[in-house]
Amino acid sequence: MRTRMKELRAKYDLTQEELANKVGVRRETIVFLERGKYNPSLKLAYDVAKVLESKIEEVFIFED
Amino acid sequence: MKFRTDKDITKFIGISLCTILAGIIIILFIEPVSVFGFILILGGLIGLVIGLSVATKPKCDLIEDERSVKVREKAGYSAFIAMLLIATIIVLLRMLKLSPSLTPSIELTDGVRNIWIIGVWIFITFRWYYNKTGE
Repeated sequence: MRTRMKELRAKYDLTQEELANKVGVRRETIVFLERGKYNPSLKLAYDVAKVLESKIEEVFIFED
Repeated sequence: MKFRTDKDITKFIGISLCTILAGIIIILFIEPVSVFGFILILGGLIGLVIGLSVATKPKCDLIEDERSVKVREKAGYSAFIAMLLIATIIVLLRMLKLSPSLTPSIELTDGVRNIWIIGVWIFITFRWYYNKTGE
């Protein structure tokens, strides 16, 4: 899984900590999500996408 | 390294320092060789280390989220499997009489205490490992 979180976060000028606070998760979780090392639940993916004002599939790119 | 100085952390570190001080006072003025005094000092030191370690982390790193719950559940499951494996190996060794030192019946309290200590350490290790690897 790839994510565009870092790019979108930069677009909205958000730090990892600020994004974590807005989504309601730990900063570590944002770090692992950005590295593609953690598969989020649908709820978390939705929350992240909502904060980044994008669609889930625009933020998280699942590859076969 | 940044230290948070909010009320909860300050209170926790203050209590730990008071506990150490109480232990020192007991040993110096009341009873020179006091187990209670040593326990207070040790408990205070452990509290101080935990307090300082928590103070270095941002507050948002301490909340419980879905990843931390998953990590804890996975570590608990892994610790359970590890404990079952250890118990199986010990039982097999006793059944096959491969290890005479393990054949005498171990008192139940000793067994339970050892399982508790090993289980807790395995759980802590797995939780640390899964937390570092993402999930």
